[in-house]
Amino acid sequence: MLETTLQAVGIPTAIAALILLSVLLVRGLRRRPALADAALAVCLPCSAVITFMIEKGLPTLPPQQQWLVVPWVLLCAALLGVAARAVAPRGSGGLTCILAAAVAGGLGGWLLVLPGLDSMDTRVTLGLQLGLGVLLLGAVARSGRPVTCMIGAWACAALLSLTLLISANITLGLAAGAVSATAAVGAVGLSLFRGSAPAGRVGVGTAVSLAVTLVMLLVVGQAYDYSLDGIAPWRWWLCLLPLAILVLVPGGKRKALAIAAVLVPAAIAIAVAWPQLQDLMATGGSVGA
Amino acid sequence: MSTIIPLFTAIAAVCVSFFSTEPLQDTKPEPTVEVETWTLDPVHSMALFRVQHAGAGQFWGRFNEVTGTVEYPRDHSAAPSFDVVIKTASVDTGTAKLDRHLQGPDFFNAREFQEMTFKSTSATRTGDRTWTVQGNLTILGKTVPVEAAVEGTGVVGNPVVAKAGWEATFTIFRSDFGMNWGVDNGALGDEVKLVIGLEGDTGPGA
Repeated sequence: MLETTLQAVGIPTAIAALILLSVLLVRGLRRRPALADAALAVCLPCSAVITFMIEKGLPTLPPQQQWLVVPWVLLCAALLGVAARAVAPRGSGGLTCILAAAVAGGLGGWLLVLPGLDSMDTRVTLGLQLGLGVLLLGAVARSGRPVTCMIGAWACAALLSLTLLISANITLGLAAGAVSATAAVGAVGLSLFRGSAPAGRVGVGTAVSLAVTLVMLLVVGQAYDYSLDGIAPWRWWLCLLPLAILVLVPGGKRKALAIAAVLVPAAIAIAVAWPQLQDLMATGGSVGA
Repeated sequence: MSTIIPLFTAIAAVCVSFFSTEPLQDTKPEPTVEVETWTLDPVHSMALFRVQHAGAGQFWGRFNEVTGTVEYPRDHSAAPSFDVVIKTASVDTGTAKLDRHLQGPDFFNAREFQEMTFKSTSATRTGDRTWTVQGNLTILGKTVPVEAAVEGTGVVGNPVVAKAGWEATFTIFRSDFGMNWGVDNGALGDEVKLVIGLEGDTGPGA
C-alpha cells in the first residue's frame, strides 16, 4: 500500500508543487496574481486526474464505467476555474462565483449518471449539492485568508480521502489524497510569499475548481459506498466542515481562531471514524496491500 | 443375376462418392441421444478464482450465486453449450471487508455491473468427456473471447429427472476487462485462474 500511495499521491503532488512553486518563485510571474490563482485552480483538480491516470490509465470517452467520468469532471473543474478567473472583474468575484455555481450545478445534474442517482429528483439534488458547494466554499476561499483556506482545503481533502478509503473506494481515496497534498503545498507556498501580490487572496478561480473537486469526490464516493455498515450522509458532509466553517469565523487578525475552527471539525471527523480507521490500518488498507 | 445387380449398385455408389466434388463432412459426431437443457442448480454450482497477492501467495475466492443453462446430451456424445450468469455481489473470500473491496468500483463494481456472463460459441473434443470450449466472457460490461478446458463430470438419474455436472478451468487477464487496480505496481496479479463447478437439473421442476 505504501508504494501505491507514494506513486499515486507523490507523483501528482510533485508535479503540482513544481508548477505552483515556479509561479510563486519567479519574480515576473509572482507579480501577476491571476496567474497564481489560475495555477492553483488547475493544480488542485489535475493532481486527482493524474492519480486516476496512474491507477486506471488514460481516461476514455465515453467512460467504460459510470464512476470513471470523475477525471473528465475534474478537468472541467480546472477549465471552469480558469474561465472564472479570466472573466472575473477585479475584486472578490462574487458574481462570477454565482455564475460558476449555476454552471457546475446545471451541468453536474444534467450529465452525471451514477448508480442509484439516475432519477430526476436525485439528479436535481446532485446539481443543487454541486451548486451550493461551489457557492459556500467559494465564499470562504475568496474571504482573504489564503493560507488558512488552503489549510482548510488540505483538512477537507484528507478527511475525504480517509472516508473514501473506509468506503472501499481506493482510487477515489488516493485522488482525494493527492488533492490534500497539493493543497498543503499551496498553503506552504502561499505562506512563504505572504507579502507578495498573489498571496493577497485565494481567487475565484481556485475557489470554483476546489469546490467542484471536493463536492464531486464526495458525491461519487457516497454513490459507491461499499463499507460494511454504510457511512451516514452526515459523516460524508462532515468532511467539508473544516473549510465551510470558515464562513462563520471573521477575518482579520484572528488567525489562531480560524485555524482552530479548521482543525476542531477535522479532529471530530477523525474521532468519529476512528474504529473504522483502526480496522483499515490493521488490514493494510485494501485487498492489494 | 439377382446378386449381381445389388453388387454393381454398391460399386457404382462407392465410385460416385469417391469422385464427388463435395467436401468431406466434419468429423464432429452427431449426438446419439437428444440434447437436453439443464438448469444450473445454484446451491451446487460455484465459481472459484485464484490471483497472486503482492507477488507472493496465491489467493482464492469464490462466487456463490451461479445460474444459467447448459445444453448437453446425457451420453456425452456432444460438447456442452454454456450460458452462465454469475452475480458479482456474491463474491466471497471469507472476509467480509475484503468482499466489499472486491465489490467496489476498483474491482467488480457490483452497483453498476450486477452480473458477469459466459456464453459458449464452439467446442473441440479433446477426450472421452473433455472439450476445449470457446466462448465470450463479459466482465465490467466488456466482452472478451476465452477458451476453457471443460470436463463432463457425470450424469445420474432416470429418463424423467436427472442431474449432470461439469467443471471448467480457464485463465484470464483481468486487465483485458479494464479491472487493472494493482496490476502495474504488482500489488495484485493480472492473471486470474478460474475453476467453475456446475451442476444442472433436467426434468419437471428443474
